[in-house]
Amino acid sequence: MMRALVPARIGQAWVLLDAEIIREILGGEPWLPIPGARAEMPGIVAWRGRAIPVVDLAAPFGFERLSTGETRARTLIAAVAESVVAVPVDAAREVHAFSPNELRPVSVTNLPYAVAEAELFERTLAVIDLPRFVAEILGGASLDLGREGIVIHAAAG
Amino acid sequence: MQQPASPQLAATGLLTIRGAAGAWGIPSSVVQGVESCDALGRTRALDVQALLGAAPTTPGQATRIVVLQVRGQELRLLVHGVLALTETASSNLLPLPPAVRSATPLLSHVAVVDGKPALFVLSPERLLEVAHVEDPNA
Repeated sequence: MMRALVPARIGQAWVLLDAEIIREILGGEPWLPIPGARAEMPGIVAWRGRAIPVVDLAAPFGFERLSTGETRARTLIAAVAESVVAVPVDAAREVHAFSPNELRPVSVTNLPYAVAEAELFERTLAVIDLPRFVAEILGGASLDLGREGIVIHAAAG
Repeated sequence: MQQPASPQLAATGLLTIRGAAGAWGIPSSVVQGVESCDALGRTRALDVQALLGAAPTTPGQATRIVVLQVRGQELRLLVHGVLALTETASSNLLPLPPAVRSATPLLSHVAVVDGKPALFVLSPERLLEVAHVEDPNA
C-alpha cells in the first residue's frame, strides 16, 4: 500500500509528513503569541472561524524557533491528536506517494520524532511522526481523524 | 416588496489594553470603572501582566486600576498600556482550544480583526478565582 507524504522544509531540513492528516496548505499565517507559552506551542492562528494552536517543529529539531511577529512562508493545517493545529514551515511541495520498500528505518537522519526515511530530491528525508509530537504537546492521545482531501491555497514553494 | 433581512450579529464590548507586553481585552460588561494608580491601590490589585507570565507591571503614567464587578464581587486589576473601548461581533471572538486554555487558564477567547488574531480576552470568572487564591478573604 502506498503512503502519501508531504515534503516540507523547516530551516535547512526537508522532512516528510503524512498527507492524510494535512487538511490545508496555506501561505504565511499571522499568529498571536500566547503569553508565557512553551516554544513548541507558541501561539494561535484563526482558521475557518476557530482558534487553533501553532505548533513549531523547529523547537524539538533544535532549529531557530518562531519569534514574535515572524511568519514562515507556508502553514500546514493538520488534524491530529483530537485537535487541529497549524504547523508553520518554510516550504512545502506536492504530495509524493511512497511504496513500503521505499520507506526505510531511520539510519541517516537525526531528527526527533523520525519514524522512517525516504529518498526524495536526491537526499534522504525523515518521515516525522507529527501526531506523536502534537499529542505530547497537547497532552492527549493521538486519534486517526480519517482522510479528507488536502486543499492548497498557496503556491507550493 | 419585502426587504431582505439584514443579519444582525451580536456585538460584544471589550476594554482593550495595549502595552509593551502585548494586547488583551476584557468584556466591558464587567468593567465598573478605571482609576488612577497609587501605591495603596497597587497593593490591592491583581497584576495581570505578571499573572500572564510576563514581567510584572512597572508603575508609570500609563498604569491604571481597572475595577471589575464579577458575580457581585469587586475585582481590581493593575494594567499598563493604552486603554480603549471597542465593539466586536461575537463571531469574531473565538474560544481558545482546550490545550491552550489549560496552559493559560486566565484567557478564554481570541479576538479576530480582519481575519487575524489580534488580542486575547481574559476570563473574568477565572480572574475571580485567582483573586480568591491570592486573597482568601476576597
